[in-house]
This record gives sequence, C-alpha cells and structure tokens, in this order.
Amino acid sequence: MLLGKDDDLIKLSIQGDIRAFEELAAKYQHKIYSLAYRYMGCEEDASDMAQEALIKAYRSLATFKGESSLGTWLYRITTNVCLDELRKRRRTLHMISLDEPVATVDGDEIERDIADPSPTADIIYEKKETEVYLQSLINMLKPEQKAVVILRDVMDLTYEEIAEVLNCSIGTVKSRLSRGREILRKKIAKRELLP
Amino acid sequence: MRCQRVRELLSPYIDRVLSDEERNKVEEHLTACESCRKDLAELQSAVNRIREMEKLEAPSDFMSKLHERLLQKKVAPFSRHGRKSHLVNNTSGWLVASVASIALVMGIYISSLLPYPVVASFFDRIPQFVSSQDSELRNNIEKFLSEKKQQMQMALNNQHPQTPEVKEGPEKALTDPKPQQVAVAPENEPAGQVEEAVEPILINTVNLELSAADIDQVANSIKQLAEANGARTETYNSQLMAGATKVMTVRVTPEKLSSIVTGIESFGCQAQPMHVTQDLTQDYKNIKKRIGEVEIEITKLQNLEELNADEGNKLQAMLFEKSYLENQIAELEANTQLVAVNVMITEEPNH
Repeated sequence: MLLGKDDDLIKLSIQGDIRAFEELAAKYQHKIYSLAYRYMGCEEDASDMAQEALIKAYRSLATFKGESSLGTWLYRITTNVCLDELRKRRRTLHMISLDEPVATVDGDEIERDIADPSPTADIIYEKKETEVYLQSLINMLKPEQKAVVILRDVMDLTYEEIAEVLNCSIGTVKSRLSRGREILRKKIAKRELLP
Repeated sequence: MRCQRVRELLSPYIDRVLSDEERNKVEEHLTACESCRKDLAELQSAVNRIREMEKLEAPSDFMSKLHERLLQKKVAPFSRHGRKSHLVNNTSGWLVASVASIALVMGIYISSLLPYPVVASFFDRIPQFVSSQDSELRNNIEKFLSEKKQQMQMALNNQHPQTPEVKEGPEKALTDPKPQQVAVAPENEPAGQVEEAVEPILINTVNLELSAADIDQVANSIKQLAEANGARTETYNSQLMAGATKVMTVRVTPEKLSSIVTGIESFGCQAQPMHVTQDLTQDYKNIKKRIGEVEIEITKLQNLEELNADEGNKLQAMLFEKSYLENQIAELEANTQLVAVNVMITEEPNH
C-alpha cells in the first residue's frame, strides 16, 4: 500500500512538481532499472527503457488511483514499455524463441534446441559467466513467459501482484510461469550435467 | 495423479500456492515417482539460480539523465498543462458530450416529475458540477446549455397550438405521467441480457400552483415554511414561460405533508392540489445503465498505462458524468421516502 509520503509526492507531482516526482523516481529507480535490464538483457537498453517508463509514469500519474501499490503500477508501465520494444524488434529481426517449435520437412514439429550461448563449459560456475548464461536464457523466452518469470523470480512479486501488473488472471500467471520455468529447467539441467 | 499433471503443478508447488488437496496429491505422487522427483529437484534448482542472480542497480547518472528529460518542455502531466493549451477545446468537447448524455438520461426523469419549465432549469444546475475554475471550460458548457435551452423553447412554442391556454399547460402536464418527454432513452434491452432487479421507484407528488405579485417574496415564505418543518427545498427560475416563473420543490416527510400544503395554499393558491404518484423505475434503470456504461469507459481509460491528452480529457468528463449520475441515483433513492410538493409560482398578470 501507499505510504503517506508517496501519497504527498504523487499529489505534488501531478501538480507539475518535478522535484517531488524525482524523489519518487529515486526510490524506485533500482528496481525499475533491474526489471528493465532483465527484459532487455543489456545495460544501455535497460537504462533507456527505465527512463522511458518513468517519463510515461510522470505523464500519466494523474490516472494512478492508488488501487494497486505505486510499485506495482510502475512495474506495469516498465513491463509494457519493455515488451512493446521487444515485440517491435522481434518483428524486425525475426528473432526466435526457445519454445517456438520448428517445422520439419515432413510436417511434424519438434522443439527447437538452441546452441548454448556460452562457448566453454568449464567456467559455467564462475559467477559472471553464469549470470550471462542465465540472462541469455531469459532473453530467449517468449515475452509473456519472460514477464512472469522475471516478475516472480527476479522481482519476487506474488501471483496476485503479477496478475495486476500484466492485467491477466492468476490462472494465466500460473500456467505461463509453469511453462517458462519448464523451459529454463530443461536448459539449465542439461547444462549442469556437462563436465 | 498422472505425471503430466504433476509436472504442471510443480511450479506452483514450489511457490506454495497450491490448495491443500492439490499439494497432498502432488506429494503423494512424488513419493512414488522418481522421475517427477528428479524434475522437481531440477526445477527448484533452476528457479534458485534465477533468484540468486545479481541484484542490479541503476547507473550513477540515471537520475541526472531523468532530470534532463523531465525538464524538456514536452514532458508534462496532462492534468496540469492540458487545459492551458490548445487542448482546452477537447476538454470542453468531452465534457459537453457528457452533459449532453446526462441530459438525455435525465431528461426523462425530470420531465416526468415536474412541469415543463423545470426541465429547462435542470440545465441551470449542471455548471455547478463543473468544479474547475477554468472559465473557458465553464463558458463552453454554458454556451452548450443555452443552445439546448433555446431548442427546448422552440419545441415548447411549437406545442402551444395543442394547448388551449398557456396557464393550463403545466397543470395538464402534471396529470400525465410522462407528458412532454424531451428525450426517450431506448428501452429495448439486448436479447438474452438479464436485467438487474430494481425495487419500484415511486415518488408521491403534490402539485400546487400559485400566482403572486412578488414571486420572490412568496418563494422566500415557502422556503421559511419548509425549513421550519425540516423539509428541503429546490428552487428553479424559469425564463421559458411567458412572464416570470419560479418552480419550487419541497421534499417533505408524509407526516408533515398536510401542514406544508395548507401553509402554501394560504399564500394564494389558484387550484386544488393535485396528487400524483410518479413511477420513476424506468428512469432509475436508465440512469443506472448509463452509469454502467460510463464505468466501463472509465475502467478502459484507467487501464491504459499512459493517456494522451484527448484520453485524459475524456477520463475527466467521464468521471464528472459518473459522479453527477450517482448523485442523481442517491437523490432519487432518498426521495422515495419523501413527498415532493411542487409549487409553480407565476407573476400575477396585472403586474
């Protein structure tokens, strides 16, 4: 729920007080950046998208009714900004996603098996490499699965909060999360079996 | 439980969001199925890895960059700058549309309840609901309303040939439950739609007609009489009829009715009081229906993560319309408990 202070800052921001809004933004900047980073997968894009989300939030703060927490509302804007951008790029780059089946010559569909992004197996336990590897797996998820995995396992939101952010039912959150995690499980398990 | 079903439930299982029954079934299956136990361990490990990823922080220049962007002229919350710019016409446009919609829904309610001049004076009350101090906005609404009143004046003039005497007009109107409807909202519900059951909204009215040399003085006396009896009064000035006219509605409890009516009659009543029971159930439903439509619009707009100026203006207008109509519903509900004494005061012809 809203803290009294956030409430005051929101009111001032709606009246055009940039400082008040910056105070709010400063509180949430790391979480919003972090969320944007997990969606976009690189620092530059994350910074751009997080800025974009905050500018959008500032412009439409008057429509924030306090029914959800300010955090949830900001995550929703950030999610929409990032997913929109990813969809735009997907259209132009024809990117593939992990669980998009590949049609074979005889008409059957088989699951796509991507080449693992990290070249050498012997350094996977090094933290940095693991981070890059995990992020690359997240990058490959379909947008809607990516969103639930990030919101649940990175941002630690409850199913209810995720449903609010994504404007979908809790059942949808459950099934998308199940599917997204299943893809990650297969990839990570396979990787960890390597010597 | 089959393995496939259990695997679907492993993700909510590790989040502990399964029902007790589901969880028991999953655990029962896991005890017996090694393959699913392996899947669970792998899933838990994968989820842990994602959860243990580094907590990231925004770059150090993040806030200063944001500051620069916020200072750019084009970034502004709509509620602050929207009205001051060229967008003012859009704001008014949406609000005027809302007022027109209110008039359509409310027109029935008012015209069936009160003599014709009051239908017009209803419009006089609308600007009170525009809390904005924006004079341009207010002017736009008032302009719209005065045009609407002119149209009604013309409609009234056209009806005179069917009315033997102007003076009898209102009285005749009172005997007819829906004498001169300004607008009829469609009553046909879409097939198959279940209509919400509504208690009948019945309002008992007593209609009186006075003529007086000094309208204001009589109106004031009636007001004092009403206040002394704890009744609420609404007064409307009407410029629609020939000569000055005031219409007052005194909302009184049934117990106080006779003393109020006797009191008002003593100010110079022209005719016997007329008792009419108005059935406003359909009007009530129409207003409720419109509130539902407006709510859907509002929800749609509030669900947008960003509103452009036009959508912002529309939202304001819709919120205004909703609050106005809800106010009317509350009033209507409260009024069923009371008797409405409508008093029409006209200036004595000699003066």
